[in-house]
Amino acid sequence: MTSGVGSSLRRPDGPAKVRGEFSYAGDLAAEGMLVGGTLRSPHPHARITRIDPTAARALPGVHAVLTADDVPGDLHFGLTLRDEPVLADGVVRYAGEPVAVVAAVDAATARRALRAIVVDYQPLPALTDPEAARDAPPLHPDGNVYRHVSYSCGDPDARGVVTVENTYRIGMQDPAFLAPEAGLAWPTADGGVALDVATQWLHSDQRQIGWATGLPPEKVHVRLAGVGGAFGGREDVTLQVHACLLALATGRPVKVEYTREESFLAHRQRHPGAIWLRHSADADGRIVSVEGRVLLDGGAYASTSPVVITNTVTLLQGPYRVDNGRFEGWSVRTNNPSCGAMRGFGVPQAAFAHESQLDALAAALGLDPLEIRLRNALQRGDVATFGQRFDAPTPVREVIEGVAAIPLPEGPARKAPGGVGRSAEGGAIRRGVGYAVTIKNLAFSEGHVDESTAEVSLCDGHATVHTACAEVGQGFVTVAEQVARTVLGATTVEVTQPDTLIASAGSTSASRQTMASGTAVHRACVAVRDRLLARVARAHGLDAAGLTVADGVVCAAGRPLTTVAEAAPGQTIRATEHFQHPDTHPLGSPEARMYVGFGFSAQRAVVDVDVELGLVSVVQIASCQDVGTVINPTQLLGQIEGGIVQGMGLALMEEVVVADGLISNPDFQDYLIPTIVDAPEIVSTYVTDPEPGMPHGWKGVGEPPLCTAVPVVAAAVRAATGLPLPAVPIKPEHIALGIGAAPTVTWTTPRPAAPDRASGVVVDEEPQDALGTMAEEGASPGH
Amino acid sequence: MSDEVEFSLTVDGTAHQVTARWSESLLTVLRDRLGVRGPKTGCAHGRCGACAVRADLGDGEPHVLCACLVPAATAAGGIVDTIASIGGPDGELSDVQEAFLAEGAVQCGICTAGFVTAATELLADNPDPSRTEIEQALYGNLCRCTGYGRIVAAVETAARTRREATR
Amino acid sequence: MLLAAPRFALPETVAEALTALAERPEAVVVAGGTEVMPDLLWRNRSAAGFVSLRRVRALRGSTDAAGDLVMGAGTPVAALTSAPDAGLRAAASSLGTPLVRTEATIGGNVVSALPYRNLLPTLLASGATLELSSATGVRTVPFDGFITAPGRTRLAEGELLTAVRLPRHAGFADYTKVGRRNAQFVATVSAAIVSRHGGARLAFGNAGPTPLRSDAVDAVATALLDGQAEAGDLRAAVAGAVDPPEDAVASADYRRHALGVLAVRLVTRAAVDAGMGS
Repeated sequence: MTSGVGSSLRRPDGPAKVRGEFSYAGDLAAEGMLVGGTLRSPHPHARITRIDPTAARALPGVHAVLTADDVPGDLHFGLTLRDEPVLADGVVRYAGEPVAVVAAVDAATARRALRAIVVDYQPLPALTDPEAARDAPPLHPDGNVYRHVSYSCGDPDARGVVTVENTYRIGMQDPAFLAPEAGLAWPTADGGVALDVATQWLHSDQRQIGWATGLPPEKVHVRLAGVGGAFGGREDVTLQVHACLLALATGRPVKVEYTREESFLAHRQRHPGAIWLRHSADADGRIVSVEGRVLLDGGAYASTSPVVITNTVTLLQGPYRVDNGRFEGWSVRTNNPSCGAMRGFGVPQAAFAHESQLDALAAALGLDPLEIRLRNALQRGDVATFGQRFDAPTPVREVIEGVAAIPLPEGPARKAPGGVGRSAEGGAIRRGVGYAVTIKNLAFSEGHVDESTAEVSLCDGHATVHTACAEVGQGFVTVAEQVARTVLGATTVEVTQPDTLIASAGSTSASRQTMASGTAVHRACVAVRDRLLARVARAHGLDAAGLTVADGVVCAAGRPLTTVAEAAPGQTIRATEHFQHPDTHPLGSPEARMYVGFGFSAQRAVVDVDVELGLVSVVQIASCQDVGTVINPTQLLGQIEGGIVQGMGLALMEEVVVADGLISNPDFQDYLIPTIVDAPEIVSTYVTDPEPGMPHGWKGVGEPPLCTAVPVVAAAVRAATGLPLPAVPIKPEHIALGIGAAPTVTWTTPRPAAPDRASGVVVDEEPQDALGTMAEEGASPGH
Repeated sequence: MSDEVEFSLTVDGTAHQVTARWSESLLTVLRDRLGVRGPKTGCAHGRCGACAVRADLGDGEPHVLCACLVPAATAAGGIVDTIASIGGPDGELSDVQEAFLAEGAVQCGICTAGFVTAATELLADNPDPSRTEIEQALYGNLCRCTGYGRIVAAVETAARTRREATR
Repeated sequence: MLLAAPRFALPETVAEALTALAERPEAVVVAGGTEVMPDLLWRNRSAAGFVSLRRVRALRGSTDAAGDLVMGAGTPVAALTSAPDAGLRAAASSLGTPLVRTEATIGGNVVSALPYRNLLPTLLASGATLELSSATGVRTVPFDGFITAPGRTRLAEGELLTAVRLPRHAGFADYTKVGRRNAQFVATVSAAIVSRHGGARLAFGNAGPTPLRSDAVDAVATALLDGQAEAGDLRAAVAGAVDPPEDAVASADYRRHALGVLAVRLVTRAAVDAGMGS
């Protein structure tokens, strides 16, 4: 079938996008529309002693000026802790925090109104060092620790012949989606409010808008506007509540659109962190024990910090069998920018640390970096440090072998380090090859319900598919169409605008939507197909059990009977189906099932380094990823290539620079994402071992390529330079001036695991009350 | 109003009389005053190329540029062609647009109009570009979704298709 | 004058431009707009009007005049990527992006007067001169010394930069820069060389508050070209002459080191070009 699952069906929104006719949130407009603006704190920490909106309100053309006092419902929102105020309430905790919002007849008037608002700040000392956060006075009634995770397994004091340890640092990466935040809100006739917005999670937005406005969900109508990329940065509320409050206050449509600078200030970044890791191994390179401690700077408000730290800490073991270990981590509150979800969700940080350690072990023992990984590779049936058994395909060996089989690049490199600056000529270039393998958890975790709902209808061969799944560019709309064509035999398919009239699809994140919304669509298509076949069976006096649909044709015992388009003329068949993953449970629960599933990825990087200048050209990245099934080869390749280049960005060039709580590079001149010149040749292969319980055996694919690309690029640069490079992004001066401490290598007398130590997971953590939308959707506290 | 300037501008073949503030960019005029929303606002400081258009502003040859960097009034009397001018009058896709679809070079698509504009200009100047020449022509266009692999493939496919068609 | 408004003018001649500026003292001269527009966005400068040079035809294009390459200040950088001077070609080709180069001008690059601007080391190494026009006439000044501090020049009130003159020569010229990625980057540091008659002149970008050159450095560079000095001598001379900034992009130590490396590499290229071996 040329258009079903397995084909490279073209994305249905493609023609509009290449014509420039696709409507993004930034393109929205409405009759009588006002323009919204946001006044943001210039201070990372300050008391607000006075806000006077009088002069602003008096300006001609200004229709509303709102402060915390004007929020009719609950002031606080958040995805886990409801700790963040819609508008600052007597105190600001990060530079950029919203203090007031305005609506005016045009952008220039809105800016004038913002300037006219009088705010008296009393600056307070800013807590900007996450190391100091735990012992510092609380910045917030909820305290400075978002989550402390601590557990052990086996005998953490067991030792092999060699021990390596180091502290690894990961800088703050920005999602840097190319369309700045935008949305359009308007009051509705039912006394409610509607919002068209570029977002990742319609129902979470709906809920948080409801809290602030006091409106019930049925009066908060959220629809997906065209999204120009997300990568986690649209999972939290930014403008959603503000736009709705302004629409309700003015009685008019209000559009809010951020500048690029404002976008950097307003959305959540990836957590920067420090990870101390100690691995001990025997002479054959088999890991004997692992100890790790993680500190992630969560910034001013919780966002998803309690969940991110859990990912980082639990996946410190990597895709390796680790029987003995001690793992601990904190995500903490500071007056730095608030951090939250970004593609990888805590695992790129862990991956950088554990893969650096594996290479350090290999070097100490004189082992090949691939060989040491093969010797430790997880297999199906193994048990994770956090107690969960890997009871689905766990093709770690296979992805390692797959990537090793990809031919190395041949001939002289086409691109030199230094690129268009032409600095390399006359200097010495050294080539390095590095490897990395990672594990990434897929879907939601620790009891947070992972579900979706789809409604499918079919009439005369035309199918419509409706979900609340946010298409952010990843190609869900294509998958939905492919499923409808394959299962239903539909001739044409329309994927309708996601909205809150249907039940939640959860967020577009965690590599989860194909598994959740794709499966819901599949089930709804199956239900519609079965009803269609029942009608055909009745009409022909046949047994429905003997009918099938293949390539748009209804067949009876394999013989064509009628086309799907002609099978029930003029009749609409509709079904709504729900899908939910089996329950997961908090760390330490007796069920020992924190995660829905896992994806494994191996990569090899070849880099050329101008060592004198510290400049890097990534020549080739080879990837072998465990994808369950290939739904759409072209789209899959696009996800792999896109994730790899984002990971390469974190490894080499991307860092939000925060000094004294202030972002010094909130623009694309000084926050650098890879250009087309920076992009390497990418060779992508797959292991297709079907995921149990999933239609077509599919599983999530979006995050693993990024998680693996960060350590693989670092590994290759280390190979080229011989330098330890314990921090990303790697700066030219790290290479040119040899900056960065090497791991400490200690040769030890082996000390096997004590046989009387309890097996299983021993958890030592304080439970947290999680009050945010993720908790309301069914998670247990402390997830 | 003393802050405003009035001038004429032809956009995608349609003549307009524009009144804009002296500091307004061409991009703002196109999108907010004229409702021409093919060119996108990605950064508004000339780094991402999402606003790329082709224009003849009376100062030499028509060329591609970032509309966000042009003070609109300096383009007075000029002729601007946006993504809407690429492709046929009845909505037929150009070979470059077709290739972007065929090769999976479009994900979120916010960069696509700018890339198609810049790639179309490249192939007009250089019908048989090497991979290096493609990169050299397109590094003013940023993409965050694709990692560029499919975009390079699309430009190569478009070039090949065009060469084969003109044989 | 194609357009005139209280806060905007679109002149067609230099004289009209000067008059328009005199009538609008708070207006800013804008050529391509590629620097002025982001400056306004980021509030690096304030302005109350534009005088655009886009339609002043006399400011665009290059000519040969008595051994000098004379470039109108309004000449787009894209046109300079095929200039007859190799150093200028190299500097123009790595400025900004292909989309920016069609609008950025050589005059704008000079007047922005920031030490990391792409064309400036080449102009300094080449001994370029600048034509400054006013209502009272035209004066010519050396580029060397024209920039007095970041963003500050010797341009007087009522003056416009109207042309840049580059002495033509037979010899070797090149420009190179380093950054934090491989395309579209502001120079962390940069360097230009002009080499003729066995001598070498170097100039550096982002090596101090203004584009920088040094007779002492040139002496060692010439000696290195001549085989009379070692690469380490040139690196040391450069390290002693420069005072680069320390910032989030790079440390002063790295910049000092990289400037020395670039200097040696440019001299090596000059040597290869002159057939003196690698």
